[in-house]
Amino acid sequence: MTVTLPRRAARRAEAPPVDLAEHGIHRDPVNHDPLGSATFSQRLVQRAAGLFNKGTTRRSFLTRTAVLGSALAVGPIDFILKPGSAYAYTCGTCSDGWTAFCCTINSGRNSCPPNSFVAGWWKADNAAYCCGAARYIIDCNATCPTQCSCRCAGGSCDGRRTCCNQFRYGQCHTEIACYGPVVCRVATCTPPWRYDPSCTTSSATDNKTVNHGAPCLTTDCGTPISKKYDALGGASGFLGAPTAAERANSDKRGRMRTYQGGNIYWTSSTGAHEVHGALLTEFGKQATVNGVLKYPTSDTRTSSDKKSKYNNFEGGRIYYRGAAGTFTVPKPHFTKHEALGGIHGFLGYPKSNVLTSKDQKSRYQNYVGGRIYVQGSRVVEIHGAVFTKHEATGGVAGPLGYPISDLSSAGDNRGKGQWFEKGFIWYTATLGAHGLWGKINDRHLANGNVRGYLRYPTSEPTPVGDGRGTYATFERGNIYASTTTDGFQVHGAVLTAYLNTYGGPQGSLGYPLSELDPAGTSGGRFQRFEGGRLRYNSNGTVTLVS
Amino acid sequence: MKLESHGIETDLPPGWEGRIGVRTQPTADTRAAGEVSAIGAAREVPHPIVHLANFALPEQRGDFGSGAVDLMGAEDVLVVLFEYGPECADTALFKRRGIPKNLTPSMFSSSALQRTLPGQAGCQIFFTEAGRAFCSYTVLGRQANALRVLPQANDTLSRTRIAPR
Repeated sequence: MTVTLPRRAARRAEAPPVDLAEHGIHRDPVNHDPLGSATFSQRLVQRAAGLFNKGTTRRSFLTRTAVLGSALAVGPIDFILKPGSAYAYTCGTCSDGWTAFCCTINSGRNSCPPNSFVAGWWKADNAAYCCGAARYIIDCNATCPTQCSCRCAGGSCDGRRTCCNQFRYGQCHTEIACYGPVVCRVATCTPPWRYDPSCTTSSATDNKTVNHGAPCLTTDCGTPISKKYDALGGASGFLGAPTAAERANSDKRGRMRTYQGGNIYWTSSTGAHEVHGALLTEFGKQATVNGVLKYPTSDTRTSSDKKSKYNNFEGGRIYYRGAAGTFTVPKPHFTKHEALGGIHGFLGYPKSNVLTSKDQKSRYQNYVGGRIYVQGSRVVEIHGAVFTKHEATGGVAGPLGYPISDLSSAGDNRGKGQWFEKGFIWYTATLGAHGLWGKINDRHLANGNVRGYLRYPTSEPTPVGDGRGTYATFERGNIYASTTTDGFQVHGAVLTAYLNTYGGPQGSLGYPLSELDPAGTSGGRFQRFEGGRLRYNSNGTVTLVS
Repeated sequence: MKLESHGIETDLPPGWEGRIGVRTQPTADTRAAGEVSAIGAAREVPHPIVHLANFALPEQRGDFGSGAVDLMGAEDVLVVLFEYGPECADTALFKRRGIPKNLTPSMFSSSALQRTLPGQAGCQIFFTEAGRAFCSYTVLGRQANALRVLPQANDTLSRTRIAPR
């Protein structure tokens, strides 16, 4: 609650501007005496002053004030639940002559409100508020022309006044001569010249104010966050001035504080770390500490290739690459990415956030060199020519379905293979990548896959064109399959005769019904087809048997 | 009685007392162990402070007179000369030249006080003298008595000299 103190218009005409600048007096000419031109003094200040006016001695007044202060002016809340040492703080009333703290009048923010500027500071030594170190009080004076009126701040336990005291400590913003009344006071353990670089180090001391407090002020003494802030240069650093008091997060696990240029987050297990800029924006999109990333485990770092900046988090990492974008790599994608060399591996930088597949069965992330799919506990990468081939065949919605293994060596010192839900993709540097699925893949696997006779595929399963069957070509033969026949391998002279003499699957022989028999006692080898048998003779010729 | 220290000299009229000093301790930046020791940033720099009064100054005083102003009577006046670092000299706030020696009642305001107290009035004048930046802060125990006590303050200020550093 605030109490407005209307000007005494009915009894006193508005004071004309009083410009005393030529004398070195820079009080706002249009607000030369906020107290003298308002009813403020009658209502509150002079209520106490009445003791003087009625002949009470100065000392008895002071004694009474002190007793009143002792009785009422101790904060009801100590700081035992807050960081730092527990202590009681001194409350303030509208009649005690002091100005309220900014957090009382500035929506909880311990910073100068609009239309005011950092105009000077003093310190109080041995402050419990700052764990025995100096406590700094920074005055925020109104800018000229003054936009505020003298009134009581009305805060619980900080009922001090605002916009009444035309006083300036003068160490800050000395390029600004004109000043209005003190709007409010910032309390901090950060030296003012770090809080605002315009402030000089010229020291002023007033130890009587050491315990001035307000419920909205927290201790600021040596919390991990304040240490981190100091270590990063305080207000002179990239974080700039604080914009709110340090606070506990709703997860009851960590704390945070916001600054003009970023945030600092802390937990006992992660320590205090800053997040700023585009990385902070992305962190916000990920619900900050309440999202998958949880708390930062590093400050912003620059990658060894100098191409990105990143923050590590308990739940992953965020990369910033300027115009290339800022993307979150959460676990388990992050763990997989790192295991594959991270940004220096074949996947390279992320180029999307994690996306959900159209079939809702996976969460995947795109990288410059490929993709990582997560399905339940299965985390699989796909990259390079295999990734391109998989996409060309319809991706996870195509005949191969999802990858269920990473690309791995075929064990022949030549090629690689990747297993999918419904097939394989095989790759060699000379043949490229080709996928196999269905009955053709079954046969290829049954016959020893790339280490069998046929070796590597040179095509995908391809429609024969008869509406029945498919075939795939390999380095040393073909496999044919149809809706009514299984897949069978045809190779060598038999394949040549099958294709050139008998018209292939669309010819008189139709689709194969068996593999080529092993060498028999009859001196020949046979392979059965729908329309007859081909005999592979010992002299290398092929004849139709029946 | 003559006072002279830190390049500031004054000859106090009868009934006045004064102090010229520089705070030496405790310093700021002596924060909790290990907190800022590694930063190596600038530290606070105390400069000379002059307190002149026609009443007994208490031992414990704020630089701008807190502790003393609480004790002021109706005829009392306090003059503070607070020095800033040389970087402040001749800036917009300190563009006035010379110690103010002609304070008038119109310069005073019941609002122009570090801590407003009933009946009191204050006047801050920022100035540069001999290349040194100062704030002259004068507090009247009772604004209504300005005409009576200001000549004393002006007299005291007229007896004050600031030498180059």
